[in-house]
Amino acid sequence: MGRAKDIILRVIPSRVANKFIRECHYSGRVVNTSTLHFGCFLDRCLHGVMSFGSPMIKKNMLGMVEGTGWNEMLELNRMAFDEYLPKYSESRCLSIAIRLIKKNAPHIKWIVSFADGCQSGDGTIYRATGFNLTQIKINNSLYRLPDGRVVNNLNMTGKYMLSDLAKRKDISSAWSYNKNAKIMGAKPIRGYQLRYIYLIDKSCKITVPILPFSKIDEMGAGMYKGKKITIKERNLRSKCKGSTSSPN
Amino acid sequence: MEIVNVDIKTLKPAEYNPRKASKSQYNDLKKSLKEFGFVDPLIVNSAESRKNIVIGGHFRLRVAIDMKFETVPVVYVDISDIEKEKELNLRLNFNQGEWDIDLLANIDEDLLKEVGWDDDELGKMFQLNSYGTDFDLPDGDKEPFQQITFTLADKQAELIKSSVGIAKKGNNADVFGNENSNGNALYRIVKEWAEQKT
Repeated sequence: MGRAKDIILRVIPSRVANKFIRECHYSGRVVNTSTLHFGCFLDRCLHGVMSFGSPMIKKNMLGMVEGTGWNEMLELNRMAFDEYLPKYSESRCLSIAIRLIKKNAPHIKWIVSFADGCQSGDGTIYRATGFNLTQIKINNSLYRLPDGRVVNNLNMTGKYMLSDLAKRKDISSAWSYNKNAKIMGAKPIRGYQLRYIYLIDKSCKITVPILPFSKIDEMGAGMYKGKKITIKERNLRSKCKGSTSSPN
Repeated sequence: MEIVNVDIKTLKPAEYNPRKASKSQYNDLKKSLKEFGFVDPLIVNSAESRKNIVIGGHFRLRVAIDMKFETVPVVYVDISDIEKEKELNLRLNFNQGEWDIDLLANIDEDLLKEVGWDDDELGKMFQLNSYGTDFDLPDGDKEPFQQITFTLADKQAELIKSSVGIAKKGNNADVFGNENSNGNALYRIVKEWAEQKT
C-alpha cells in the first residue's frame, strides 16, 4: 500500500470539491445534486475528491435494496484523483469514506455508483472495495455535442437542461432530448454502463440480480482508463510486469 | 561583508526551517562540496538571544557535518526578532526546491504571501487544517416539498407570472412551512379558483 496509507480524508465544501472535479474529472463537469464531498489529502494538499448525493431520479433506485427508506441510500456520483496519488489510493479513499458515512450517517444503508464503460473504466475501484456488480447495460444516455462536450441525455431536456443549452432559441427544454440532440447535431456515444451497489448494512438484501465480475468480459464491457480492454488481458499484463495484482 | 570560518559544532539549525531536500539533491551537493569546497557561506544569527542559529544554509550544513567538515564559512547577521529571522530564512530559501509542508504550515500565512507564495499554493497548503470529518445527512422521510414543471405557451406564461406577482402581495396563510413565495402565491390563486368552482 505504501504512501496510500498517508492519505487523509476530510469533508470539504462543494466550492472546493467542484473546482477540483472540473479540473481533474474526465468529464470536467460536476453533479449539482451532490451534497457530501470528501477531499483526499496527501502531504497536506488536495489530490482527490469523492462526491455523494441523492440520485437524480431517486424513486427508481430505492427498490434495488429491500425496505430502503427515502433518505437511506446515497449515490457516489463523482470520483476524481490526480496523478500525484500513489497506487491503491482510490480504493483506500473509498473505504475510508464509507467508514465515515457509517459513523456520521448511520441511517445510510447502501451506496450505488455507476462506472462509465463508454469513456472511463469498468469499475476496478468498486470491485476492489467490495461493491456488488448489479447491471451491465448498453449506455444510450451519453451524447457528444458538436463543441466536444459529453453530456447526459437528461442535460438536453427538462429541468436538468444545461443552462447554456436552455438559452438557445432553436431547441426547448419542453422537447424530448432526442429531438434536441438531432437539432443540435449531438452524436450518441456507444459503450456500457455498469452499476455497482455497496451494502453498508450487511443485513440488507439486494433485490436485483448480482452479476459475477466475469460477465464484464463476456459482454465485452471491459474498459480501463478510457481504453477498451478485458479484465483478463489486464491481469495478464500485470503478471507480465511482475505484479500479481490487477492494475488500479 | 565579512566572511569568517567558524567551528561547525557551534552552529545550530533553526527549529522552524521548512526546507527539505531529496536524496539526489543531497548527493549532488555532496559532489559539489567535494569538488569545489565550501564556496558559499552560511548565514548565521549573531544576536544574543539567537546566537549561532543558522538562517540560511541548513542543507549545506547537514551535508558538511556528514562530510566531517570541521569549520565552515559564515556571514553573521544581527537579528534579535525571531519573526524577522524566519522571514529572512524564507526569503533565502524561496524558489529553492522542496518544502516540509508540515513545518511551513506553522508559519504565518501573511508572511508566506509577503515572501512570494501565491493564494492558490497557500490555499492548497492550509485547507487541510480547516476541515474535519463530521457531517450530517438528512434522515427520515421525504421532504414535504416538491417541484412541479409545466409547459406553457408564452401568452399563458405571461398571465400566470403577472397573476403570481399580484398574489404574492396578499397575506401568507396556508404556507405549510413553504418559503417559496411563488409557490405560495400560485397555491393561493388555485385555492381561490377551486373554492369558487365548488
